[in-house]
Formats: sequence, C-alpha cells, structure tokens
Amino acid sequence: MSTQSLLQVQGITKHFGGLMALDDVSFTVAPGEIVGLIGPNGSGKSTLVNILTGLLVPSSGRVLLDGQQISGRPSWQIARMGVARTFQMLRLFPALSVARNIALAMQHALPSGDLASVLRLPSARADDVRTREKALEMLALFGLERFIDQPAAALSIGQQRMVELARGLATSPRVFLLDEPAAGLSPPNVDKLIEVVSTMRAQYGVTVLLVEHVMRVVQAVCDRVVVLDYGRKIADAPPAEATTDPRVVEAYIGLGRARHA
Amino acid sequence: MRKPVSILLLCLLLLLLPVLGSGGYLLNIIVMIFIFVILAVSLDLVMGWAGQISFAHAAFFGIGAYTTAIMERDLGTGFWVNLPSGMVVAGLFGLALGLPALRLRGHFLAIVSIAFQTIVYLALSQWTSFTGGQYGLSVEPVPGFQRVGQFYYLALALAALTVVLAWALTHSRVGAAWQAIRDDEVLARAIGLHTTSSKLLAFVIAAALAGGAGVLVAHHIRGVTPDDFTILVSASIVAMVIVGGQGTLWGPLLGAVVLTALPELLGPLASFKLVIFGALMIFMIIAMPEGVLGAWVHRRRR
Amino acid sequence: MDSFNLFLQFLANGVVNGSGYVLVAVGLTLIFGILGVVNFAHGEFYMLGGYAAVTAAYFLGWGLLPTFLIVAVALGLFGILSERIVFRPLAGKDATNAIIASFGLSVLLQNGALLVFGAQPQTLRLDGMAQTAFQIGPVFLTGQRVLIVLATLVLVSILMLVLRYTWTGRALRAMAQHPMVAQISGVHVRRVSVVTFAVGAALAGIAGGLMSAVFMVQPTSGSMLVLKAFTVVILGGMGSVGGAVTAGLLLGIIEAMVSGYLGNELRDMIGFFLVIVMLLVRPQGLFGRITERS
Repeated sequence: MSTQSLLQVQGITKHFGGLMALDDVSFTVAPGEIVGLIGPNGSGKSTLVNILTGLLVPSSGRVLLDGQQISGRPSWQIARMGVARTFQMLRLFPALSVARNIALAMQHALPSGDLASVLRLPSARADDVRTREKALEMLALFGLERFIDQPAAALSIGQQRMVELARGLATSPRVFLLDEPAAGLSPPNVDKLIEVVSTMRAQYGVTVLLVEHVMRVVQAVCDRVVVLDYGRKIADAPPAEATTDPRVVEAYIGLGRARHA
Repeated sequence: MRKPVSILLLCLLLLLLPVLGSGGYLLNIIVMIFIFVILAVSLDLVMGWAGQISFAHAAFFGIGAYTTAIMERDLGTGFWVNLPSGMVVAGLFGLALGLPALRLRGHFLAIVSIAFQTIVYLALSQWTSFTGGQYGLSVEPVPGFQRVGQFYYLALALAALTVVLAWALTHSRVGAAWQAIRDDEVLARAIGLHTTSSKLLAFVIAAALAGGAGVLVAHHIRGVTPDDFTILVSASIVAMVIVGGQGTLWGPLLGAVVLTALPELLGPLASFKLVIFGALMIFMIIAMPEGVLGAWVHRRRR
Repeated sequence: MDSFNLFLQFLANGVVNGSGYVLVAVGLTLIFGILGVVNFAHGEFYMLGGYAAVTAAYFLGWGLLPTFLIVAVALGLFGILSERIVFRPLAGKDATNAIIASFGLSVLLQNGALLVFGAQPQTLRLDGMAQTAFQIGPVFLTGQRVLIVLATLVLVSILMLVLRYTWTGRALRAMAQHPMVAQISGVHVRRVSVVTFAVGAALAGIAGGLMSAVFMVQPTSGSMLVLKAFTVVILGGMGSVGGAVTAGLLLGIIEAMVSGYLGNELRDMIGFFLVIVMLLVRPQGLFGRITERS
C-alpha cells in the first residue's frame, strides 16, 4: 500500500457468465512510470483496460487512482478524474474536425460553463482560443498542425492514431492508457510513436499504461512489463527480464497447447 | 454571394406580407407554418443533434396549449403569463419522461415516447372535468393581437426567437456535445462528456419550446381539443424534421414549410387534403431519406 | 355470489377483447420481429378488414365462411401491395424512415376510407349462430363474441403449426432469430417479407371483420387499436407468437377488470402504463430474447 503508487489494481476478477476473463490481477503503477501490459490474445488485456476506464465493472476487486476508487464508476467520471485512453479499434468522431475532436475531450474541464458558451460570453471565447492553442501544440508534436480543421476521417490511419494520442495528451491526464497504439502502423510511424511516448513522460510527466503486441515498442519505452495469460498475471518485471521468463515464453509459444485467436 | 441577399428579400417579404394586403387564408397558413417551425426546429435538437427519437412532441405541444387554456379559465391569466408557464410545465413533463426514457435506445425509446404521447392524449380526452374532454376548452385571443394580421407578427417573432436559440445552442459547446453523442456515445463518455444530462437538456429544451408553440396555437385558433395533439401530429413533426433534413438549421424549417403548405395547395376538401398529406409523407421519405436539404447539398457536390 | 358472477363476466369479456388483440398483435409481432419494421398502418388493415367483411356480407349477401375468406384474401393482397410500394424501398435504411412512411400510409388509408365509405359507423350482421346468445355457466356471450375467440384459437393454432413444421415457417423463424445467418442459409428475404406482410395483414383484417360484428367499424377504428397492438407486442416480446397470445389475452382481461372496477376512463390508458414499466424493467418483454437487433 505504497503512497508512491498512482494507480493501484487490487485483486481484479471478472466473469462473463461461466467464462473467467480476469483472475485476481494486481499490480501498481508509480507516477511517471511507463508500464507495459502484454499477453497473448485472449489473456484479458482488453477486459482489464475496459475495467480501468469504466466501460466494464469488475466482478470483484478494485482499482484506485491516487487512493480514490475508480472501479465501478461510469466512464465519463473516470475520464474527468484524469484517466485518458486510446482505443484498440481507433475511435474518433470521423465527421468532426480534428480541432473539434480534441476540444471535446477538453470541454469538461473548462472554467467557463456551457451557459457562457451559449451566450457567447468573452470568458467562453477566451477558453475556446486557449483550447485551440493547446490542440495546435499537441498536433505539433506529431507534425499534424496543418490538418487541424480537416474532418478526422480525411486523415490516414496512422495520422488518426496520432490524433487520438493528441486528444488524450491535451487533457493533461494523470494516467494515459494506450490500447495497442502501434497496430496497423508502418515502421517509420512506429518509430514516431516510440519517440512520442517517451516525450510524453519526459516533457509532460504523464504516467502511461501501454497495452501492446509489438514487442519493439514495449522494449523501447517500458520501465516495467505486466504479463497476463488466461486472465492471470504471470510476470511483473522490466522488459528484458519478462520476455526471457520461461513462463512468459511458454504462454506465447504455447508448447503443446492450442491457442485461440 | 447570392444566398444572403435572397434570404434578406425573403425576410422582408415575410415582414411585409400582412401589410401588402394578403387575405386571411394565406396569413393563417403562414401562422401555422411559424408554429410548426417552432415544433420542427425544437424536435431537431433532440433528433438531428442529440441523436434520439421522440414521437411525443405533440404531447408537449398539447400540454402547453392546455396549460394556457386551463390557467385562463381557473386563474384568469393571459398570454404573457401563460407563455412562460406553458413552457415550464411542458419542460417539466419533458424531464419526467426523459429521466427514465433516455436510458433506452432506438426502437425502445420510440415506443416509450409513443406510450407517453398516447397517455397524454387519453388523459386530455377523458379527464373531462379538468380538460373539457373531447370538446376541449375555448381560449381568448391576445389583446392587441386579435386580428390575424397582428397575431402574425407575434408568431413570426416567436418562431424567429426559436431559430436564433437553436442556432446559439447548436453552435456552442452544448451542440458540440450533442454531435459527439449522436456520432459515438461510448466515445463521448470515454472523453468525459456527461451524456445523460446532455441528452436530457436537449429533451427538456425541446419540450419547453413545443409547449410554447402550444400556447401560441391555443390563442391562434381560440381553443384546444385533444384531436389537435394526436400521435399523428407527432409523426408529422418527425416527418418534417426528416424530410427537411436532420441536424441542419434550415432543414426542419424547410420541412415545416413543405409539409404544412403543400397539402393546402393541392387539396380543397379536408379529407382529400389528408390523403395527399399521407401520400406526400410516404413519397418524400422514400425519395429523399436524407431530407430535401440533404438531397440538394448532395446534388450540388457533384 | 353475484360479485363472483360479475367477475366471471368481466373475465369473459376480457378474453373476447383479448382475442381480438391477439389476432392483430400476432401479425404485428411477425412483421416487427422478423422484418424489424414498425408498421403503424397495421390498424388500417384491421379497419379495412371490417369494411371488407361488411361489404361482402351486406352487399354481396355472402355467408360466414366465404365472407371471411374474401377478407383474408383481400387484406393479404393489400399487405403485399403495401410491402411492395411502401416498405421495400426503405428496407436497408434507418428504421425511423419506415415508421414515418407507415404513418403516411395510415393517414392515406384512413382518409381514403373516409372518402369511400363515409364517416357513419357500420356493423356486420351475421345470420344464424352468430345471433344467438350462449350461456356458459353464469356468463352470457353472444355468438359473435364466441366466434372471435374460436376463430383466434383456430387461426393461431394453424399459424403455430405452420411456423414449426413448414419450410416457410422455419424460414420466418430463422429470419426472426438471426437475419444474416438466415440469408446465407438460402432464405429468400424478399419472399419472406412478402409472406409476412400478407399473413399479418390477413390476420388483422379477419380480426377487424370479426370485431365489426360486435363493435362497429369506422375509418378511425384502427388508430387506437394499433397502438394497443404494439403494447401487446412489446409486453409479449418482439417476434414471439406465444408472447403475443399471452400478452394479448392478459391485456384484454386487465382492461376489462380496470374498466369494470375502476371506471371506463382508465381502461385505454392501462396498457400504455404497463408498456412503459415493462420497457424500464424488462425491455425484451415476457417471452422475448435479447437478439442481435437492438
């Protein structure tokens, strides 16, 4: 129960009917750490991410953010408490502009309220200007400033993933959950991703929980790696150790065991 | 730059119509158009912006209308007190329906709204001691606006205010949140938007505006009867929003004009008019599912 | 003793009305459950069935069975026509569009009937058994009312047998449970659509014909009925014939009890309150399942 931990996952278990998706998973994340969450397909990573961000409720166990319980709360509340996320399947508002996509994520934290916005008060307009500036700053990290007023769907998949990162980062999150950000990215973009994740920690002090399949990214940025297999935690160590751990190797290669996709 | 000029000319025409000496028949139709503009524009906030379905709009329309009729009868108050009152009462009913109903999606939300609409209609037509039953109640004209040429400006003003309000809402953070909910509610929640209260806001504002339209219509036709506020009227308003083009500002406006004016132009007999109205609804939905505005924009892009 | 007899009479009346609901709701649940179409003109099929029966019996002087055969065929054709002209063009689109179109159809048919038949209510007069009064224990029922219950029993049984044992029936059930899989397995979607509409309209038409013997038929007969039929469909579970039967009879009985003991004004409202409660507590209805269609 170290007060150093920002995120504490305590005994999370999740059933879906008869299926046990997560079985007593516990780990912590310290402020400023970049922790990887890896495991073969079906190991429960997505389920855990959805529990951490409020899309699912755990069957038992709890998650604490800086000592406050977040598990069981609705997703909008958890987001407002400082947990940002990207989605495995890439989720943006495709018809809305990049600027609007980012602004919407920042909206709840603006000091001027909705009423001020409707009445077009100066305080609201000042906030809107600041929001746009922040969005530009974020997009500049990825070199995407020129797309700011384009509809999100007009960008390539790689660029859209970057916008998702920009969206999360713009909210100055305490914890940023990245759900397979490297999926579908070309190698130069993967390099870019590694660079950006490192910058997030170095420049913005963001704590990151990274779910990833692409081992290159995990090894390059993660301080520590938590490995899941069939819903259980089987390792919790720096990447070099974890990837050579025989249990982890066994889980991935599955000597003699069938793996489902 | 032709668009703003033609709009200006249209506004000028609208302002001068009564003065130009047009007959009462035409002015009456246009007053009804103004009333349905309020109804269609307000419903579009719920449907085209917040992305919900509601077949209960005529119920709020009726609640507003009956509020003014009953207040006039029992409290002796007039239009200027009853207008905000009608809006508040309708808004409260909107809250009462919205709180449980907005948890449901798609088909189910539609059915709950239909059930609510029907309950209101049945209450209005059967609670005879309070609402006058099938015969309804009579309503006094508004002093200073007794002639249709005068009432015209009252209706025009309220319709214009509604459009301005809708514009202000949809072009603010409130409207941005609605668009987000409409496009992907799960994502909207994941980025911190309180989607339930946002949807509820659309619902309540729309209900209040419909109530206001109800107060207006009550003083226009000098009475209220349950058959003016049936599920068919609700469906017509939905049709106006869809036929005109959801989620745009001019769409519902256009839809209100088309579906209110066209039947008048094409059929003299009451029943004949309605047969045409029904056929029109079918035809327009099949031919233009994205609405008149949507189809027009589509054709311009090519 | 007397109050018990009264209760039984209410019960009997409830079963009669409920049977009418069942016939209309069964067709609606098939259309709603299989095709995902909300058809507000379904009440007009009922109303037109009433007029068809009156016309056939009155003006053509035909007897009971031929009259209802005509009604079934006429309304079946009507259903096919509606499907072809109104609903098929909207098949892939947003569900709200079909709902609006069906309202348009409802207005068209209602006012068309007004123009053709006039506003004056008309009754179907059936000779013979239909006129006599039956006494079952302490309960009195006229022949027309007994006929409604019998017809419902027969028709619904036939329908359930057809659904279970014929190829068409299985195709309908497959469509209701899993439209995509059904299509891949070779179910002819358009044919299913046409058959469903034809059967649904025919059943509603027969109900309308039967009810026109007890109540009168007028152009507006269908408008409240279709709303009640929808509540029955939701209460029973979309796409469930057994659900429509159970919920239809229950609604008829509950309405009769409410009307008898609490007053007539509340009778029509009770179904709508029940449906709101059901949707909040158990949206899939009594016998429905949470299917892939949301």
